Parts: sequence; structure tokens; C-alpha cells
Amino acid sequence: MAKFVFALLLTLLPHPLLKAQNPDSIFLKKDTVYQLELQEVEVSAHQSGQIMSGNMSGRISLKANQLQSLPRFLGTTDILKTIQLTPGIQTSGELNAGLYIRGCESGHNQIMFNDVPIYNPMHMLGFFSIFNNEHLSEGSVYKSYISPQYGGRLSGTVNITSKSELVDRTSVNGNIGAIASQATLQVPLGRKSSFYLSGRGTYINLLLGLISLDDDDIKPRYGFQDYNFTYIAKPTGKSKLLLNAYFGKDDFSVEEYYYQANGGLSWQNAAVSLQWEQQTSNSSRMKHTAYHSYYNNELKANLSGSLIRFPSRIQDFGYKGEYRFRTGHTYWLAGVDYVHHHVSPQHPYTENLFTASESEKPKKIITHEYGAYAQGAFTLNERISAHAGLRYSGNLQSGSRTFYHGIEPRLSVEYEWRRNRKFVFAYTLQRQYMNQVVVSGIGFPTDFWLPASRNVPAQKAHSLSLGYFQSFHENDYEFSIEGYFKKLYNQLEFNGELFDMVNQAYRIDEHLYQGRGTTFGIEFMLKKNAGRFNGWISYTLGNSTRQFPDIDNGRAFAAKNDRRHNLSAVCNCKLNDKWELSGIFVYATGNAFTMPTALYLIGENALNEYGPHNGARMPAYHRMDLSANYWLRRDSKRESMINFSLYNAYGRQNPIYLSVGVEADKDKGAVRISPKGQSLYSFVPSISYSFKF
Amino acid sequence: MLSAILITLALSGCEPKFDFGGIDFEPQIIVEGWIENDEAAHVILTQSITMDMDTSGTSLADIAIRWAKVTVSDGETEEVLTGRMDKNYFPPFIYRGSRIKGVPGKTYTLKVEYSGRTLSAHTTIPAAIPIDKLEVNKCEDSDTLYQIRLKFRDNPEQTNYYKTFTQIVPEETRFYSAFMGTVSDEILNEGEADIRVNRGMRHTQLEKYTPYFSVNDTVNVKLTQLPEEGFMFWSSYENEIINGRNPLFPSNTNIKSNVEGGKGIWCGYGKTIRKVVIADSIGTPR
Repeated sequence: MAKFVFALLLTLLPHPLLKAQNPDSIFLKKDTVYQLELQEVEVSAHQSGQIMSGNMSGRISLKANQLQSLPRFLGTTDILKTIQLTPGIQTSGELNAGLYIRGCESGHNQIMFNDVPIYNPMHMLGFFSIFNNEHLSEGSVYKSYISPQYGGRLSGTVNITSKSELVDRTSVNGNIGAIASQATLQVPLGRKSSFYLSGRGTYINLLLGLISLDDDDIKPRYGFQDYNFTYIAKPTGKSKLLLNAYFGKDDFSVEEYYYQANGGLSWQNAAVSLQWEQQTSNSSRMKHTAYHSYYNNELKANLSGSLIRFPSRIQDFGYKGEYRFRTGHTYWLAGVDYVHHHVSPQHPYTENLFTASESEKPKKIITHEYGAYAQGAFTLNERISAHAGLRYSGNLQSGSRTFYHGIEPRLSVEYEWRRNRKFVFAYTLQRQYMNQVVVSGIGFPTDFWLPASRNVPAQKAHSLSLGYFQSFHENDYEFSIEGYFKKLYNQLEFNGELFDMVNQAYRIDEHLYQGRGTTFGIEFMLKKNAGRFNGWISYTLGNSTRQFPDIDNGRAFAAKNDRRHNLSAVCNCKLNDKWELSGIFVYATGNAFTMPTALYLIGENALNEYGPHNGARMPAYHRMDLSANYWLRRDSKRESMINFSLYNAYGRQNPIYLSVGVEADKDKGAVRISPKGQSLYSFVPSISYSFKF
Repeated sequence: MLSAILITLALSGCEPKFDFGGIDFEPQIIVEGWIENDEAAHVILTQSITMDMDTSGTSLADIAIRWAKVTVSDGETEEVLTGRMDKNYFPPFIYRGSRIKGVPGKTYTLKVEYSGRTLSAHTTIPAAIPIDKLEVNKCEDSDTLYQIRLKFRDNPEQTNYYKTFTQIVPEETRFYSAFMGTVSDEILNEGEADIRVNRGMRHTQLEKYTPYFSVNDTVNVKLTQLPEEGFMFWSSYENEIINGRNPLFPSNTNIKSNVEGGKGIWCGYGKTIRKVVIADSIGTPR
């Protein structure tokens, strides 16, 4: 069984990457506050921008069209993986779909696609994100001061947006990669509206058919596909209508002879939003968003007529309304949001295993989550400015009296010490009513979502940060250092085991521990913005611990994603009009994990004796990727380019898990134990072709 | 290019070493003990092995504990078990009783004294449950593999726990824990329970494991009713075997034990054994 389920993983492949934002940033005020007018921003296809920008303003921004120059994994560029190269955000490595910001769990981050929450943003068990880069405009990351318009999570906020500019001619661009390809169609519908349509799919099954696994009795199949549609209408110069739709699905299946088993893991994401922006005066505008988000996953196995399934699902219907206006030198933001959640937490179903008929289904949980907020951006004097915000949020569970609510004050103060040098202090209180239950520990789609309820309290976090930011040489260089401290309350640890879920009555509340967490650290960043040679180095020294009364007698232990060191270096070099070279190096302390320290035999089976919870470390993760782009053609209407990438260039075999091999030889009366790390691959070369016409 | 990719995607063990040296290791005494209705007590004693061992292999002579004093008491009578070599077990050394036979409803205490350490555990033997029927069916997509279903009456008025074991004779010299063979009656059909019996699983088996049976297999199926501490042990035992190396549903919690001062299980079972021969056509239980 373990082999059967695990075969899911062994056949899948990995991937990295990312990009960034506009320059001059450093002392731009936060654009969320100051952009009051609707403006068309023409983005030329090959503008020479930076890969990352804006970190000095508290909002890291990655421009999708700038990501092309970075190394690719099997030909694919990925914005979410690129975000992991920025300060305070961990490099997750292979087989890890999570995004970890400042020592928090993956489920503590709000990941949005056009303002719609996405509950599992990964394809292929984490090797690709669901975001098709060709359809994107940019990605923004907030991790210090979180504007009160963003609620419902304890850590960072990531918002990825689709292209939203009108186009004046029909064009097609695409990318043909080693295991997946995609194409985007851009079509004008008159002068005031346009649409974009993208599709992406993998043909990895062709490769899986060719790969000879160690075990010929396992037949894996995997496929993912996703589709994006964006419609833009600008009926007047002061209004804009956006319709965005996304649908993506992953299916992994395996057949195994000896267990007569077939089954697999599947998950789907869907997000639809309708946004209307209206400039109401020269100093005010409003934006309304209605959306629907859907995510489900299911792990299932069929053992010759005995079926075991673990489905879970979450479905949101939401609305967000915001209004921005200016009075004198003060910029205001106010709004409301509401989400109607339908949640079916993971629950086991069996058929013909211990019962003749399928087991009973639990009831769906329905909750109402809402928020109202206001924020002011004040300039106190020439040197001091501040953002002060207040959010009130709550969560009500239908059919019960369970009601959690509270205020969430947010504050940011900027002190401009000298020109291009500033200190920024931020404090936020954040509340989370939709919790992620981490089953796998590494962000796999077996993790699921569970709303706050009578036995599962709402989560809360206090966050403090203090940073120093400086730019020099006309903003050609930027340097920053920022410390952070977070206190997390009502954290969850899942202690359920797979077999316990099917051989007895399963009540999820009985398998959740509650505790607290603390994270702190310091982030450094040195960045070169301009010139033929540019890039950045980011380093984070961090500590993240948890303390649960029911785990290890209340002793504090390292969070799974506790990383003492996390280093990312990105460089980019434009040799000439034809050639661009780039490289990435990442180094990260290994994840904490609960290590088997001893082994014993009962019933002729070898059983692990585990050491302290998260008391051991995986070996350090490090990797270098190299990339070269060769432009065959590049003008305003047509482009074609070949990318050569070498992922994990020096063939570091980073272990993804610890495997304990046991061989017992009855005849010789001996037992042999061979624990070793297992990695997926050494180096991975790829070539891909990108085009636009 | 494809071939280059395929070559580099080949799975491989990796060089980076795990550090096992930071944790002090003290071998634990492991108990695998049982007493069944109408049978004498059996106890296998071993010690745990550090994970940070030389991979050249550890002799079973180092694992088996041969010089312990093992005492079983039913509250009235006390018996010191006799240790002896027995190649039917692995490692091949077992302590057996003779005078005290298991009686349903009675509580039995185990005491192990070895090397200055004393371990103790208590268990009760629940009632044996008759097997109503064993059904043999061919697997859906195979002409050579068969599965067994077992039917018995569960008392809906009580909380009951069941564990199945199998033994294929003459190849197997003892009963092994049936794969996914531990169940609480909370999830069984009321009245007549109908559960699947998978082949016993063991790491010492050299052939690839399959939960099914083959034609001409003679299978002894043992249905046991066991107390809660036994159910907890076997549930966590099966979790460890199924998921100890599975990152989707990782298992990293220690097996629940009822042995004070050591690890493992001392368990009373109310057992019923039936034999079935897998015939070429749909089998007829004997």
C-alpha cells in the first residue's frame, strides 16, 4: 500500500523560478493607496525591466513578462517559484507545494488570483504552480505591513493578476516545453474591449510510458491542464470591467499488479471573478468584485473491489467592495468583504472493506466570513509618514452558535532618515477563520481546509517588523535589512493516521492538537537593478518554533519549515541582442522532521521508534540552475526564442525523504538496516521554444 | 533530448548524509506477547536496534533476549515461562507457558525481568467469536489471485474490537498480522459483520507482498476479539507498516504500547480459527 501510494511521487518531476517588479520603487508610496486614477500601462514585450522590484516599498512585485530570462525547469517559467527567491520566503525544494513566509505555515498565506482565493496553487505535487505565466501581468507579495483590505490569513498575501490591458491586434504567443506546452490568444473586440484565452497541458504520460521504473508492476499516469480566460471592457475612460476565469485539474493514477490496486490523487481549482472599477471623481474611485472559488481533492484506492476514498472540498462565493479617496494629503481606503464558505473537510469513505456498503457521509460545513475595514495614509511631516488601518472581521457557522470575531489593527510608520534611506516599522494583528490541516507536512493535495468551529478556534497572530532600506547610485543598487517577530495563537497539528481513519469511527476534532507558535528572523537583500549584469542576493536568518501541550509534554519544538539559513542568489546577464544568460543559486537549512532513531521487530515486521517531534534535520538543500536564451527574432510584432536550461547544474541529490531499508535474512539470522535519503533526480537539462506573432 | 531527460530523471539514492548521532540511544526491551483462549502464554523478547548502526548487519543473536525471567499470572496462579529455541519464529527464541491456559474474561499479568529492568503489562481475554462463513472470490482483474471475506456476528450492544491473522500452511510456521486486519465495530454493519481478510504481511518475506491468495493455498484464518489496548497497538502497528515511508500520509508517531518499562504488546485474544483451501474455481470453505 505504501509503495502503491508512494508511486504517485516517484514518477513526478520538479521545477523552480520567478521574477519581479518595477524600479524606482524605493520611496514610492504604496501604490495600493495612491493609485487613484485608472491608467493604461503599456507594457512592451521586451522592455528591459528588473526581475524583481518594489521590495523597498513593502510590496514585492514580479512582472510576468520579465521572468523569461531566468532558468526554467523543463521549459516552464513559474511566478510562484520565483517568489520563493525573495527575502523571507523559503525555497521549498522538490516535492513541496507550500509557500512558506517568515516561518509560518503554507496555509497561513493568502494566495489570490485576481483577488480570488486559491486553495491549492500547485500542479504536479508542487513542481509547477497553477499560474500560466503567459497569461499573467504581475504578482505582488505583502509580508510586513498587510493592508486591512487583506484578511483571513496570519502571514503573507500574494496576489497574482492576469493581463488586463486592451490589445489592438490579434496575436498568439506560446511556449513549447519538454513536458508541457501552452498558448495564449489575445483578441481585440473593438476599441474598448479585448479578451485573452490561454490553455496549457502536459504530455508527461508519453514520457512516463518510456521511463522504466524499478518496479515494472507499477503503471503511473499523470496529467494536468489549465485554462484561463480574461475579458476586459473599458466603456469609458473612467470605468473598467474585468471578467476572469480559471480552471485547472490534476489527475494522477497508478495501477499496481501485486495489490491489484488502482487509484490515485486528483485535485481541481476553479476561480471566476467579475470586477468593476469606476473612477468616481478626480480623487476617488471604487472597485467591486464578485467571485467564486472552488477546490477539491481526492485520494482514492481500489483494492480489487474494496474502495477507500478521502475526498475534501471547499467552495466560496464572495464579494469585495472598496472605495479609495483623498482628502488633502491623506489617502483613504475603506471597504467590506464577505465570503460564503461551503466546506467538506477530508473524510474517509470505504466500500467493501469493513462494511458491505459505502460509509455514511458527514454534513457539509457552511460558514459566513466577513470583514469591514478602513485605512488612512498620512504624511505627518517631511520625514515621517504612516499608514493606519483597522479591520473588523468575523466568522459565523451556519446551524450552530459558533461565532468568532475581533478587530485587527494595522500600523506602518516610515521615517526617512536621509534621502533614499528610511526606517519602516510595522505592526499587524491578523485573524484566520479558515484553517489548513496539514496532513502531508509538505503541502501535498492531501492537506485540506477546515473552518473555525466549536472545537477548532479561530487563529490569531501578532506581527512586528522593523526594517532599514537604502538605495544608492541613482537607485541602481538597493540594500535592505528587516527584522520580524510573530506570535501565533491557536495553531493546529494533525495527528491522524491513515489507517485510523478507516478502521474505526473517525472524528477529525479528536485528531487535532492546539498550540502556539513563535517565529522571528532577519532578512537581508542586496540588489543591482540596472546594467547588463543585474540580480540580487537575499538571505534570511530565521527561527520558527511551536509549542503544543499534547506534543512532547509541552516542550517547544522546531516548526517543520523552521529554516536557520535561507540564501538565494539570482543573476542575469544580457550579452548582446541575441543572448541572455542567467543563473540561480539557493541554499537552505534542511526541514525539521521527526526522525526514526531506532527500529524493532514485532510479528516479523520492522517498526520505527521515533525521536522527538521535529527533532532532526534533513540535510541542507542547495541547487544551482543555469539558463541561456537565444533570441531568433525580437521586434514589436514577432518574437521567437529558444531557452536552454540546466536545472540543478552540479547534480546535487537533495533528499526529499528518509528511507529506511530493512532486510531480514532468516537463514543467516541477520537483519540489515540501511537508512538513506532519497532524491528524485540529479541534473535536469531542458530546451523550450517560445514564440509570439 | 528526451532520452537525456529520461536518463537524468532516474531515481537515485543521494549522497547527503543524515546525522543520527545526536540522540542518545539506549536499547529498549520489546515484548511481543499473547495469551489466547485455551492456549498457554507466548512471549518473544527482543531489543531495539539503533538506526545509526553499521549497515553490515546485526546478528539476530544480538536482538533476541534469551536470559530474561518471564512470569505470567492470572491472579491466582503464577507461572514462569520457559525460553527455548524455536525456528518457527523470528528471531528463533520464544518463552512459553504450560500450566496457565487462557480463559475468556480473565485478566493476565506479565512481568519481565532482565538485566536489572522490570517490565509489566496487563491484559484480558475477550470472548471468542464464531466465524459464520469464509467466502473466497476471484479478484476482479486477475485469474490467479483470490480474496477471502469473513462473516461473523457482532454484538451491537457492546464495544468490540477485532483483529485477523493468517497463516498459509505449510510454508508459514506461525500466524501473521493480516494486512488491514484491525477493526473497531463502530464501523461494522450492525448484526452480521462482513470484512475482508488479506494475506498476512511481514518484512521477512522475500517475495513481493500481495494481499491476495493463490490457487492451492491452504489458509488458516484466525479471527480474534481483543481488548482496547490491543486494538490501539495493532492500529498503530498497521499505520506504521502502511505509512512509515509514505509522504502523502506520513506516520511519525510511536506505536501505542501497553508495556510499562518497555515497548510492544501483551495481549489477550479470544480466537477462532478456520481453514480454507483456495480452489481453482470459486473456493469452498472447509
